[in-house]
Amino acid sequence: MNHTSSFWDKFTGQRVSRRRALQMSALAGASAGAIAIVGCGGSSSSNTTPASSGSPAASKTSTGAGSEGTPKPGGTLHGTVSLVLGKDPMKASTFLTHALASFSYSRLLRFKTTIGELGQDDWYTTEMELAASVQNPDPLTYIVTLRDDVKWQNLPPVNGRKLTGDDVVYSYNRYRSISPNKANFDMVDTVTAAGQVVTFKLKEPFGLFKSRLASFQDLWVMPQEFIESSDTASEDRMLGSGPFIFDKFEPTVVMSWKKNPDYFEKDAAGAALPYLDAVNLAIITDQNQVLSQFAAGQLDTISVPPKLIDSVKGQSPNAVIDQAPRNILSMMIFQPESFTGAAKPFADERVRQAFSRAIDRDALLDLVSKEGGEWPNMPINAGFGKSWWLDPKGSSIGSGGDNYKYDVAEAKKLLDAAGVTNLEVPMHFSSTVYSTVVPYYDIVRQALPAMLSDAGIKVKEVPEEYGNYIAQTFAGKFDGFAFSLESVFSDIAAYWTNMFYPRDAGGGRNHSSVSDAELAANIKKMLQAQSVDDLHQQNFDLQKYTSQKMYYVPMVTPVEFAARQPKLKGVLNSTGPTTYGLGTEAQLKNWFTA
Amino acid sequence: MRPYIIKRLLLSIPTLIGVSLIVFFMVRAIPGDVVQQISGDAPVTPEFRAQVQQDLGLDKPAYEQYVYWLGNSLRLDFGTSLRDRQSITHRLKNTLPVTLEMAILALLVSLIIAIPIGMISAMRQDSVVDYVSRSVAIGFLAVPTFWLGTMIIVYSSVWFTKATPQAQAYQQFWENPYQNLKFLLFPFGYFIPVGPAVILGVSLSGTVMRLMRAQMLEVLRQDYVRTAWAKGLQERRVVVGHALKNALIPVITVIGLQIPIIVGGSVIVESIFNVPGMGQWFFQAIGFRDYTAVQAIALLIAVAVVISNLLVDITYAYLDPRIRYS
Repeated sequence: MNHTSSFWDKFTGQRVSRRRALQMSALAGASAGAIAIVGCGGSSSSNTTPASSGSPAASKTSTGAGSEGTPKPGGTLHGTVSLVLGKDPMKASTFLTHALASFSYSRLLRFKTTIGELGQDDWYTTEMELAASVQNPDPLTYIVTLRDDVKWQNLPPVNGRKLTGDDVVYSYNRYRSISPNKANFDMVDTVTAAGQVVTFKLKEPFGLFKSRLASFQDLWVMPQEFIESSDTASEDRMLGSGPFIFDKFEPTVVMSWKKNPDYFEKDAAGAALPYLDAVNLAIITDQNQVLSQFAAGQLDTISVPPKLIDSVKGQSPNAVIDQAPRNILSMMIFQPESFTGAAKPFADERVRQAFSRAIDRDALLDLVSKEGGEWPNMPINAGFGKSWWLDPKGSSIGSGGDNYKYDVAEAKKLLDAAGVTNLEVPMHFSSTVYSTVVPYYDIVRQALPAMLSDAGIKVKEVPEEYGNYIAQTFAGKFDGFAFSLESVFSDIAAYWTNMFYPRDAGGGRNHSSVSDAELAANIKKMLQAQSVDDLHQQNFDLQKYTSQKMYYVPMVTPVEFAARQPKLKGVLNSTGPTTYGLGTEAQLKNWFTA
Repeated sequence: MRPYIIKRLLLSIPTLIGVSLIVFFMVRAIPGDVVQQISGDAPVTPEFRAQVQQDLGLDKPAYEQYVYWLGNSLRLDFGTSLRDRQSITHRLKNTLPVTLEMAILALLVSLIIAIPIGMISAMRQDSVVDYVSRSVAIGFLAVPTFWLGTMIIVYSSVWFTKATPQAQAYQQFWENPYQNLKFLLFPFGYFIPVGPAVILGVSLSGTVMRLMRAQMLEVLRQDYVRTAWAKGLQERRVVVGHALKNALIPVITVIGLQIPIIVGGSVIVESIFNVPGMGQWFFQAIGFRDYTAVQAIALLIAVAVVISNLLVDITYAYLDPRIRYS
């Protein structure tokens, strides 16, 4: 909207002849007639040719950097977001802000990524970003040595000065002062800096500390001079050490960045990163508009709701489709009094198990996405990969796996055994926003009452506007049960503590006020494990336990899709952490063939 | 006339105060507050709540907030958005002209379609032209704006691999009139009128078309029109010179009443066509309990409705000299 158009210059330099004026009038008249054609046109099926999708594996992007050729610098990536909720990742708790932060800001570590497929063993493992090395001489000490070649972006007030350990300490202190997520670093006792060396001293061992340093929700390194230059500096713009320099933000219009020419990372051949000259994210709320823009080639990459994937393949037969499960949890949550006051019926684990057995998860997945998906465990989702997620269909889960099997007869038996007959129960759900952010939410929600009805459970639907839902139900003020979602955290520890610790001890997402001292103690023990093998084993043991208890009833994790134009190369698959760290994890090595 | 206008303007003050009170307190009465919205689905700790409330001035009593806001509003300072801390006034400068222009264009489109067709339909009563026109009017009334807009978006990409321009392509009229009108009227170029203003206008035209036809039929049966015919005047003179003005009086009333409908419709149309206007912003602001933004926009809409109704009344006097204000 801030164009410096030369329209008037051109106009004043030309004369519009009488003939030309008449031609324009005639065209206007003809176009007025076209209204009727559009308005009264009959329906017609698309004449496009569906793309060959093949199996899920076949349709995944799998081209390594080598097969794509030599990256060419230049070009502007055109993407889209539906909403921008602030620019300061420390003030925000929403992933919508965190997702954009890494264009301009950096973390000490980040999640490991690669062009194309990343093996599941590497999902949610870390690699260096600002850090050159991380030493862990004892369980309570992490010594981070910063790279020596990192400069802040060359803009006032930092003007390209070197990033030092003091910047990290300042950022940490600010984070601990203002971030709604600051409890994620409660295990830290002190943070000190000496030159380029930053030392974190912990109060207690925390085996996933490196993941926490890579978290997209927590410790972004931000310059003090910039933050303190005005009260609103960090909300007006972004200024960090990341690969892209913030260019502009117009609400409901666009957010854009330009290449940071002084960015510190290079590719394997020594070429400067990022390759792109600019990133332009159009703010578009309407899904049809997004698909239309992509089909017309005005967007290079989009995320696609599962139900619309065929439309995308039909409209854009050359599009490359990437697919992966996401980490958003869909689940039933039960009224807190079940656990705080042993209120019936959900205090009885047999009732919760019956609810789980009444759910036909495969049928739900069929409804949601023809490419299927996985069953989440609680609270670890398939998007974490098989190193962290215990597959409810697998043999390793033990007897708890039975609770995931669709078995209406068994569900009825469990209800009978619990002495529950003619159960009529309210089901709360969000009637807005969730269905936009997570397209399958409404589909699953609409199917639930019928499935539960088969097991003799009568559901009374209670729709709630999102703001009300978050303030009431999500905060644990509800009766009956609710169908809910849980946002994505960057490591498994955050899921375990948030959902099972007491609310006043780090359990900020313990919607049902689950109170299980044994579980909490075992979570704490797991988090202190120092060896990866121990961590994995204890994580699996906990999932076996929760699959028995069914404090929350996990629903489904459908495969979700991203589409891109074939000319866009250097793309990571859309699994795991790449969902969030857009600037560094996802777009850093993007380039265009033409 | 002048005393009447002044009187009307003075009478509008209690109306606007009433609207501001309702908007101010109703928005706050909706469950789920802005602190929770800022926090997303993360838990809100008491200290975080206190900090945000202090930052946003929400820790003061509601009446104090209201008086402070109203005083500033009179100076056209609507404060800052609770959501993104941006100046409301600054954002209004960018979005209000967009919505206003789209509304005016939509109104013009609806009149360009409705008045000639309504007239012709009345003049050729019970002919094929009349039946077709009435069918079209019913069609325009029946087809929802959001459906029509969505179909245009979807089928333009399916059939022609074309998309409407993104919001960032919008230019103000005074910057580049051609690009501006293209964005709102002919988004695919080639003067094919399927833009957001056209879609909004089409949906309005059905009502006006039917009313125009009915009024025209009534007026054409009046004695003075029969006299005009008897004098041997040409049809164009009779219809345009004598009948049209009187037939337009009730139509003008309806046009005035359509201003709020246009504003409401713009919320949907702006989202579908990605128009960077006030309607889209209003919708999001309500969802995010952005009190200051909602209050400012609602107040402006109320002002627009009051002014448009005043303009309608003034237009009566022009169209019908018998109407006098005192």
